[in-house]
Amino acid sequence: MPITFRSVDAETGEEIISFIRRGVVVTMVRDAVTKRFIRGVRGIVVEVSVLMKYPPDKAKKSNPLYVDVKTSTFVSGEDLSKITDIEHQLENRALDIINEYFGEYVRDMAYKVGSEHKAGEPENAYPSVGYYVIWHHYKGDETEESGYTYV
Amino acid sequence: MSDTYKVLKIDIDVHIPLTWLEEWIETRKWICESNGLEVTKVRFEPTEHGYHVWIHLDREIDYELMAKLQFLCGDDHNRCYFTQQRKGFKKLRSKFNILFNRKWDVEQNVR
Repeated sequence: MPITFRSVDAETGEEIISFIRRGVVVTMVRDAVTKRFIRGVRGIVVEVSVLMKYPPDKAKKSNPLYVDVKTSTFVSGEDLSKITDIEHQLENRALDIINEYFGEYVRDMAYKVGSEHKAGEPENAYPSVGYYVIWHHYKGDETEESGYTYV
Repeated sequence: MSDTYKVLKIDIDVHIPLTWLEEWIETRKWICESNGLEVTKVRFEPTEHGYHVWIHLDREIDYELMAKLQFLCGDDHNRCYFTQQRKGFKKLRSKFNILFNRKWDVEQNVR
């Protein structure tokens, strides 16, 4: 049973693996220690986060700003081989969202990107993408929005 | 979206001997016990800089306690800063307790 994909569930730390059985891609969550199967899943939720911080000590007279954007999509077991490409599409979509909300200048200040893999259910299946945006300028000014888009 | 937490996520950004790690787990259990919680299981994943650790608890806890326990358990201080920044986002903050499977810098070509 050669494993074709391996990752770790970012919510629990358990393993997510894919393999081919009788020509069909099977994706399972298994115990990272005992290697026993916990449950089968149809695929994984891939989430990409982009972060921008412009803290008060740097902002001085300008407006301090803190922004987190997350884009999220469900990728079926058959599509897991394309995961790196999908992650970059999610990254670009997240940067587009920062651009739409805050403009090019703020988008260019985004500096760190990362992806998470979760054994979740399909809320938005690729190429449909859910997004979450949270930001504040200062305490008490928190704004949070969510929606969906396409890559 | 649930705003309660049953798993603490800790980012350790240093490689340490296995024996230290075993002692580290035991002392994390004491920290959780002192807050009335039991650890049901612990999962590790080696990373480029150290380890990601998931500490499973016997019951759900609120955001404030999760944030405090992650700090007390030795979570990366940058992550603690961001957890504090997200405190006021009551609707979506549960989406952002992040432990990356993969991390990279924003590509130069978008700048």
